[in-house]
Amino acid sequence: MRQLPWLSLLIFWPLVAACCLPLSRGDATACRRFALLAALGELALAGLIAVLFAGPQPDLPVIEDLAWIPSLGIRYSLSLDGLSLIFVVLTALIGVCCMVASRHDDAKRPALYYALILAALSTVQGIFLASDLFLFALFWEAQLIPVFFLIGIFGHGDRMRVAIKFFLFSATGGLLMFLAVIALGILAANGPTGPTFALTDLTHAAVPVTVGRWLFAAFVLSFAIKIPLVPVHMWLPDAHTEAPTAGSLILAGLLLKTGGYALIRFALPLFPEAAHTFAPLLTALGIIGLFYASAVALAQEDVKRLIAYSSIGHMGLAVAAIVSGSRLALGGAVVLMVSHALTSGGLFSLAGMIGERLGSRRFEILGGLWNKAPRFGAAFLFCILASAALPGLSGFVGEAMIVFGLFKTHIWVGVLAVAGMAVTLVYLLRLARDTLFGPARSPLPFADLNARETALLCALAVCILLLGLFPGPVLSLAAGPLDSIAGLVWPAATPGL
Amino acid sequence: MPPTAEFTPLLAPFSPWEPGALPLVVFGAIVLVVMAVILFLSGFLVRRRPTPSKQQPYECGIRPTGPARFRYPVPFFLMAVFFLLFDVETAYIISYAVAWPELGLPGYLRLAVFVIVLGLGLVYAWRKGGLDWDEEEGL
Amino acid sequence: MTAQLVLYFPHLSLALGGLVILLAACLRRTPATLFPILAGVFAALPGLWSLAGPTGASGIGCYYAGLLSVITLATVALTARYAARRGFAGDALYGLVLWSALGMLLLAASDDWLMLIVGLELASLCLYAVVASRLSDPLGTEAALKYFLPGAMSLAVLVFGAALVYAGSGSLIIADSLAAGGPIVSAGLALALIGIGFKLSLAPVHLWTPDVYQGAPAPIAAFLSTGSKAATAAALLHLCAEASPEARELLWPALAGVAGLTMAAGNIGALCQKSVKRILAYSSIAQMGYIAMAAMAVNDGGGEAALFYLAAFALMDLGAFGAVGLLSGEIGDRDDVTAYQGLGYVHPWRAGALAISLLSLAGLPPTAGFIGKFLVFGAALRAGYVGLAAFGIVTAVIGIFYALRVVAALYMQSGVEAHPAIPAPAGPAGGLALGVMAAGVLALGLFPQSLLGAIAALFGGG
Repeated sequence: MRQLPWLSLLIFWPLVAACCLPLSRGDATACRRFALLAALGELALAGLIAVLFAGPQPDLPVIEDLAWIPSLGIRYSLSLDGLSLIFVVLTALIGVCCMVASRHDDAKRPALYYALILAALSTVQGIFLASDLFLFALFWEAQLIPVFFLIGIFGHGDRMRVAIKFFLFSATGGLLMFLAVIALGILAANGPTGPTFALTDLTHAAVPVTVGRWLFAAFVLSFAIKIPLVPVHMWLPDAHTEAPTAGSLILAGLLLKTGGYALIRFALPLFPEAAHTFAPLLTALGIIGLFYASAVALAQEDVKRLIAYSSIGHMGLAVAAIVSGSRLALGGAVVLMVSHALTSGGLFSLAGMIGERLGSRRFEILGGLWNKAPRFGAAFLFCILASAALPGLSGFVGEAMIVFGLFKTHIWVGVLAVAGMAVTLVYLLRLARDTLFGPARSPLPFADLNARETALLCALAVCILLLGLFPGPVLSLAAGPLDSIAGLVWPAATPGL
Repeated sequence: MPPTAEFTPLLAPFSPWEPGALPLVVFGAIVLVVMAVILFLSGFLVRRRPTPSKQQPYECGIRPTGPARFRYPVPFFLMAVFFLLFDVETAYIISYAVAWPELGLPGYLRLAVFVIVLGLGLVYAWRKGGLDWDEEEGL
Repeated sequence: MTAQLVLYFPHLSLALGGLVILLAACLRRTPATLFPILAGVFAALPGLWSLAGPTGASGIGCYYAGLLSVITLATVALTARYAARRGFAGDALYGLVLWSALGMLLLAASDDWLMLIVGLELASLCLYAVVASRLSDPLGTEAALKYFLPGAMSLAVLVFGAALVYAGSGSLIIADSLAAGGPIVSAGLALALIGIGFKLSLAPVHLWTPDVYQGAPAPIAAFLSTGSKAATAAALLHLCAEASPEARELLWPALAGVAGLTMAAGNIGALCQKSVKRILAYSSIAQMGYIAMAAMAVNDGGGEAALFYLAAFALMDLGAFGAVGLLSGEIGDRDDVTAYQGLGYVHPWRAGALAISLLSLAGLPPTAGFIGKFLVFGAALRAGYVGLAAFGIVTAVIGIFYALRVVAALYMQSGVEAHPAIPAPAGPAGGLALGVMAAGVLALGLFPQSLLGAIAALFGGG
């Protein structure tokens, strides 16, 4: 049972399903059903792997390793440890959410729509599983293509320009990282292992200090664009505004997380020295992002744009935590990222529902939804509160860990982070006030959640609650890999939680 | 590479400061400067008053008619090209004939291939109407 | 004798193929469909020869026999129905294509300055005529002239360079003469590189390329941009590999500048183009910049990288130009970017092949272009051209932009009604060739080891 190529299955199952979709010949119902089944299959697969390998008899990491381009030392090597497992399950979960998120966006070409979502899932799984740098770079670039088409074909408004903008931003970083990967491979080729791109070998490669800093900068630029950190975040609000709901779910729930994940998994252990050097800069950018994004979010007139800016703020906090040097904050960052994927997924779905029902998501026509659609209002408020880190919900666990960790290492950063979270509350409460409460500013009717939407939000709410109340399993899963990474980068730091 | 016994470079190193080359360099520089001055002045001093007749292409005073791109038969040109080809081939054949004693049978075979291919080319040109004098739709 | 016959089998088959086609045209009642079939058979022979792995053949000769065979075969397949529908198919077209391939083969595998010049000239002379083969099309005639004049110029420069090299070294063997060194040889090498740069459309002598590619019929443009480029690049690699250290010291900074300028000129030039063929032309200029960069690193693995990249580039450009040809109506080629709007849904297969080729030209995974970029930039970094490589990566981002513009037109805009030109039927050969090219681009991207292994085997692993 454990011998099957589970990891390849995780990556290629959605891709195969995507290739089968055109067989439905444009029959929307068949497409939806098949795509949902495929996504559920992926979730089941991820769950099965979790039970098999992280259950009663843990056997992590799971490794698959095949020669791919032997003359260049490139291997098809996947590895799944606790950290990857968290994100793999998250990806499968968000994939299911994408399939039921909207019945409006897929009207144009259902087969293509679901095929693109499945392809995006497949490439994101590849990023979370790859342990060969070349393979990682390949998936990193490849993930852009389905999302590009998803935004460009199924988006709203000026979708083509936005799709190209998204692609160019990400590709710039991606290509520079690609160059850095090549350089790293060349540096390591003189070492004892010969030409190699394996992460474990490259971690121990002797890289000169200056070169290491340049390479780290190239890696981090690529990840920062995807996260996004503040000076290179411009693509995100546009992309979210024009993207279809599923596109927003994938962007906020998965693509942003690939940036944070890659920062932890690749940038830190590969260049510990450079990570120390750049940590103040990254911390500053993250904290600036937190305040800046909050200020800009407060001024937004579009619900989805506001949520997009809130993503920038939350991810900025996560970056500050990741590079802080505190093991506690590092774990908190992982929890925060997972929690953010869930809450922003819920918020983006709800924003998409507003757009579908009213044809616009501007605050000037909203207000009073709590009375018009009580179930919708409850779900919206729940997601807002989770995003605002109400104790008992998922956001709280991550933010509390981050704050404790930051206070231990850099007290001023901790103070600023707490202040930033307080600012976050302002725009989240404004979001709640202007959509849910107050007088209705438009006479348009607003249908309440139907069964499909209720199921989607209930599933997300259950996950948020579980993560908020019982974060233990997630933390213990991530503990092993995070300990080893923290031990590599900050040998002096206190181990454990 | 230093000159060796069996081979000496044909050209001495070329330097603009050697007496032989200096006048050429000076001359070239003067030419460039004069040209630049003339071009600049003619553009700078002139006052343009375009009229339709001034803007016509200059055809030795004859009023231009019709489009510039049209096809007209040039059979003589075609004949000239063929002549040139076959004329050059005679040069090859004669130089081969001079070396007949050394080349022997292999040389003969090689030239035979050459002449046969040439003959095939002539046949092709013939069949395609390349040798027709008054046909506009020739080759 | 037999050994020599085996050694020159590809050359003989291409030369004879051209002759046979012309002779067949002399016979009465030869069906017109026979010519492409004959051309295909004779074009396939060198490929079979190189697969058989003949003893005594040089690695580069073997590789190029195979590569040029594939290119020629694909060109013939793409041209067959295209030319027949548009009334310019004929014996001369196919005969010239074969002879041009012969010239490219000579050029690619030449050890001798004279053979290099003869090969280049044979390839070019045939191509001049082939470009103008659509007689009724003024753009084609203009293209031929614009191709001919820089070509003649470049040949003159190349011959002068070769003469200088001979004067400075006393040898016509490329390796010996360049090893001799000395200022005159360096000057000659510089002139020869300029001449080759013309043909390879390296900036700043690239300006003829867009006009010629736009004017030539699409499958012929594919042949121009792949076959002639691949063979000329082989000559460039050869010269760079043999250059003496002294000449390198003198010429390499200039070559680095040229490579950087070419990448920038190609990629930036394509930004504002409205014609797809011109975009492809500029993109092929940019790709030659990457090849030039690999040529500078030829002794640090750049040679193998460039050979792989040339094969990948051949596949993707044949795919792109071939798809343009197959999507074109009967009157002219479909050229305006706006004329491609929404085609992705109307003609999914042909547009899909175009999209895959464009993504590969942009260097995105999982296509051959990605692996090619990896190899080429790896070679440049290994040889220490870090600045040039970083600059190249930045220009590659621009390259992604214009490729996406065309892809976005294919899939993200609707507007087929505005451009109702229905593509002429592709014909089985053309469709098959296009499919094979697109599949090849993907296969090389996913499983590059087969080709890499073959290259390593042919060149003795180093």
